[in-house]
Amino acid sequence: MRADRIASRTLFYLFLTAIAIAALLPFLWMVSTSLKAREAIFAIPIRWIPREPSLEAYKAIFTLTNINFIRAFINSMQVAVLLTFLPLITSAMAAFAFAKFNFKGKQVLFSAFLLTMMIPGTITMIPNFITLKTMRLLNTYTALVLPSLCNSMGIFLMRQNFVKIHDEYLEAAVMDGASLYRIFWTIILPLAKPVLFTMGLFNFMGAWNNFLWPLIILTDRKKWTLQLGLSNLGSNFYNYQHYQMAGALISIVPIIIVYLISQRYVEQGLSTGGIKG
Amino acid sequence: MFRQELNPKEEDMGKVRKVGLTLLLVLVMVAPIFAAGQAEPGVVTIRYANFSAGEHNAETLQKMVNLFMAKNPGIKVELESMGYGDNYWTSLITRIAGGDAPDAFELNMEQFLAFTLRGSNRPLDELFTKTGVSKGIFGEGLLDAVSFNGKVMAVPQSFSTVVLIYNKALFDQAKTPYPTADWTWDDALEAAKDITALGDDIWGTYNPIQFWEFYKVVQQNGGSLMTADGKQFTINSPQNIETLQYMLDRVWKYHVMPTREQQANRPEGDMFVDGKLGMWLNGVWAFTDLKDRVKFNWGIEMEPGKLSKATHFFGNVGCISTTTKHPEETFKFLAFMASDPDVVQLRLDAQWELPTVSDPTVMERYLADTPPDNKIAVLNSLQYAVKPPALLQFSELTNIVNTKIELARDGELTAKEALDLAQAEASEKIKL
Repeated sequence: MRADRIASRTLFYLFLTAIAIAALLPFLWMVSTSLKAREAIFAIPIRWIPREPSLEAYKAIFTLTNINFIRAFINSMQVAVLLTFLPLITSAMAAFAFAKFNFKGKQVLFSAFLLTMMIPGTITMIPNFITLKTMRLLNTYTALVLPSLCNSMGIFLMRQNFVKIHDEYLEAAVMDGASLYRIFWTIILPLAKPVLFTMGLFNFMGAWNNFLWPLIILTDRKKWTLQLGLSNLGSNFYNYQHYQMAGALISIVPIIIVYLISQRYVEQGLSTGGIKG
Repeated sequence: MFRQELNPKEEDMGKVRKVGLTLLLVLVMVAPIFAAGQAEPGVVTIRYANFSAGEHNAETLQKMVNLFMAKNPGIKVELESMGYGDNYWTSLITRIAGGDAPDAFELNMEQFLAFTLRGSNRPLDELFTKTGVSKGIFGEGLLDAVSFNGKVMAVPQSFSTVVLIYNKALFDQAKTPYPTADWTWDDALEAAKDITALGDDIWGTYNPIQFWEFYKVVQQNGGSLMTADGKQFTINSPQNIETLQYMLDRVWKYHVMPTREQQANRPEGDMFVDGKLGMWLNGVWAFTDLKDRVKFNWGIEMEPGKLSKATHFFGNVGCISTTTKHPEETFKFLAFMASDPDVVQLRLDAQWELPTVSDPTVMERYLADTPPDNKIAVLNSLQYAVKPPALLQFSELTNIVNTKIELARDGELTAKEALDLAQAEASEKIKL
């Protein structure tokens, strides 16, 4: 019995180790590539530990002509912060209304929101582009943020959570004379912390890794985000993979930090929401 | 659910409106912070979307543009530079479709026809007359290459030919003679065998097995993909099958070129620099990089042919959007970027492809700049330049033929099977 248990445990951990290695290998390749000289990048057999490791690529990405790395990093940060918090607020407000109020056309409106989730982003890309062009907002961060303010996934996720908050809390607050805003800020939001963190994390990751939309909207290189800058280094006959890997590694850091901060809440949020990440 | 009487009261609704309005106001106030800069009065701003500079020649491009702006104070050029690849096409196509086309945009010859057929760029003949720029400044044949229905549709900015680049050290080591201008397929194969024999992971030659290579190589063997009148496909003609067989034999019969597994995703350029490739077909754009990185002697020669020679020609051209409000200024800019002597010199200094002007003194300077020796091969190759087949459904044809050729490359189809399939599918799906 005991031996059995040990055997099955061992197998289980071996299996987990194998998966972990598979997941970490590309990451290791990134680290290794970023430390190599250009000539050594594609050397076969792969040299996991570079023969002459150098931080050259890490230095070089700060002196590129086409993109100012620090500026791009700040741009990315700015965009990601806006895209994390603004949709969070709009979604929470909409979800509050959908979860706790009766109004005419509520079901229809909610279904309409859900329906927009079925439309792939690539289809709305050009109409959105034309709308923003008409508003003279191309090449601005406003154009990056505006389409995300109506986040039906977020509204849905939060509504499902808010519905579970007992009306008694709210009624008690109303009896005490609390206004709607007070209820929203001091009762609903604190009770919904896990889902807020979950969605915040999703938003942040989505915004940080966002590529296609900024690519189309931002034509001014000074406004480029990190991801745009890194992907536009190469020319048709010259690769900068080691720079790209160095830049990509640096760009992972904020995601890791944000994840570590919100990890505890995210797990709760995902389980109570009953939604897979 | 809130009980009905607890639903928002009038005073609450007033507050909702107030907060909503405040939010809106904040948004309106924040928007201009991010908004694009305003144009200066009296200055025309034109936007130039481009890809060929990349990071590598970004500084050179900026210098060229600065020269232009210094000489034309009334025109401001905003560069919209991207790296080469899907990014550029995605962004450009969306912006043209969305009605925000840049005034000028760079295209390569492969994409030129597709954009022109779809009406994204305007004819330039009238602008040549208006601005007094002579058509004669461009090298022979280059304006023909960018003409469509008898109208010039772009300003040729730069061009490159493809030549045979070879590792002299490996040739010496294998005691086999260097390539000459009249080399044929057989000569190249013999040399490749000698070099491959030198050792493990040393390869005689590298010639990609794909559509772009195929439509050129068949012409060296007297073949083509369509009849001369363009009414029928001739993809599986006997000489084409023979051609593909020859391309495949280099890999599977003579082993003078690596299979995909043996190549293991290494770029051919890196293999050449590492001294693992005897011969490599590539464009003149590679010279700068090779000059910096290669530690052995290397040379160039025209690509070997069989019955005749056929070579690849690449070019980047500047187009003017049909929607620009400043066609004249934009044209002036593109013409300047192609022909101003200082710009041309910058281009040559950077070895950033070849300038498109016909001035022979320009070319003399280029030829004198070595390594590699024998640079005349670069210009001579232009005589044998072939164009891709011209048809509206070009990308479908590429796709159909390429998928079959790749199956043959990986040993899953024979040359004949692959081309028979391609012929059948192309004839069925493409209207000529």
